[in-house]
Amino acid sequence: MGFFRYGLQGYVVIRVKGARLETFVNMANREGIVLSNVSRPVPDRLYCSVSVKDFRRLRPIIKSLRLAVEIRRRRGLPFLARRLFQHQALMVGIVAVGLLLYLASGFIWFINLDNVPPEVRVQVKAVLGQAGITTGVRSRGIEVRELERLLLTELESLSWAAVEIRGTALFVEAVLRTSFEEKRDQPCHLVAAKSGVVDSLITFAGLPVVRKGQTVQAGDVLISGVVPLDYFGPEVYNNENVAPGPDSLLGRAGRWGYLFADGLVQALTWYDAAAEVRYASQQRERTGRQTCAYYLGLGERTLALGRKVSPYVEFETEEQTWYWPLPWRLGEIRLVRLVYRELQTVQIKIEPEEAKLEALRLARAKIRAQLPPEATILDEQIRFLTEDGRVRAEVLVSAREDIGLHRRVAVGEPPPANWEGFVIND
Amino acid sequence: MRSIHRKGLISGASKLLDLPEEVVLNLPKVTVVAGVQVIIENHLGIILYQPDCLRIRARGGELRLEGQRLSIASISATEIVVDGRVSSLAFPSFAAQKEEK
Repeated sequence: MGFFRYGLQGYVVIRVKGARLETFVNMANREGIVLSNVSRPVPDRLYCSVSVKDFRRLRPIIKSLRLAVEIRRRRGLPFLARRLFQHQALMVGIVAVGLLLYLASGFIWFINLDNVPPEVRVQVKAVLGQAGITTGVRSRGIEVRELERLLLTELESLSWAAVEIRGTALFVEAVLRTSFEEKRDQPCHLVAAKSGVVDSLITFAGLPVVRKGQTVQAGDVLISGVVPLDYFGPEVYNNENVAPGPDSLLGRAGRWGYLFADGLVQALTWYDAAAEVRYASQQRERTGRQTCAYYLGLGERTLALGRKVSPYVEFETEEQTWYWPLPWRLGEIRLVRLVYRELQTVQIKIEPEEAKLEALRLARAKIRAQLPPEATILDEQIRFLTEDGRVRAEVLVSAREDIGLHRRVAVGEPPPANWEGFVIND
Repeated sequence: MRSIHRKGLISGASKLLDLPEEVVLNLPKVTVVAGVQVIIENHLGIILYQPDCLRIRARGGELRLEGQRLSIASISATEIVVDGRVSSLAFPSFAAQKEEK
């Protein structure tokens, strides 16, 4: 029985009792009445389904053949609707719940600030409050782009903000301004981030206190944020209120002016790394066999489902977790699957040349991990050492990179000891 | 005798013109789905219906279906769909006619 053909208009399952049942089927057929699910479990009884409309047309046939008919079941939408109408309170309840859900889905019930840095959460909440965004507000009228703009204009410490409405939750995401921009209003030295030999030096602001070719240690001042005021001439030196030129002073103490020193200092730096590879080594490999253990968790509690421990002696474990959040912030249900994969120890023999290449690859990878991405590699020296079944690769890399790093200076602090003999804007 | 003659003529013409014979001659067309469903088109009614046997009248003879738990999934003026475990399907009167010819 097709749902659309019969389910919508309703059908009945009838039992026909009598002798001439084949004739009944044929007569119905001749009248254009469609019978379906016809079965005849015993010789004098026939069960079939017929649409409500056709059932009425069956009456004359039944009468003429002197059959007994009984309706066994009523199926389809009209009967379901009638049954539901008999339970009016239930209907009202269903409609009310549906309506309530529909209405409730149009409001913001959660404001999620998880992706807002904790130091500005209170301010972000305050700005949202100013804009009238609180829990229980209608989500339809919220202009998301407008809200983002408001957050950025109201909170100068933010460099980016995003607001998104997902269902009944409002998600705010924000990023703080990078510390560099923040520090511009503080007197700073430019110091060496790592040891090296100064290769080039361009000063934007401040007093450079190193020269090209000079060896510097990590932490040494490269460009001083403390400058003698006489470099700016008498009009600055004598007048407390004048800011000198483009390098505006952020403070002064005695004959010293304090500013945000900035520049580009490139230095030659060195990195070394070593790696060893055995010609003959043991390695653990997966055998391909694995079993799983399942745990069900809610909050702190976990419940093991079936197997708990690994059946293998050597194995590795992988954990996969699925979460189903519960409504009303009740937490979430966790399903944890621990996959135990059996391992076996395999003896591996490598050709000495291959071992060398592998050791070199490992050592280079170690160097790459230390090297900042913008550094330029100038030279690479490689040395191999072979001893009792192992090959050791030693790699020394010289590179050129920017080593400048800002460090705050307190107003009143003396300048670096070696400042004399250097000039501003060299 | 005359009708057989005429039938042969129509049958020959339909073959010549590549027309489906069951349409031209109104013969029953039977579709079998792996012994679980049989669809009979162009039937003329039911002669006998029992759970293990179903005889269907058709132009030129009768069809006999045997099996277990046979039920008529639907029956309309042109088509009967039979469900159940069908073990055999026979056309006794059609076969007799052919021999006669």
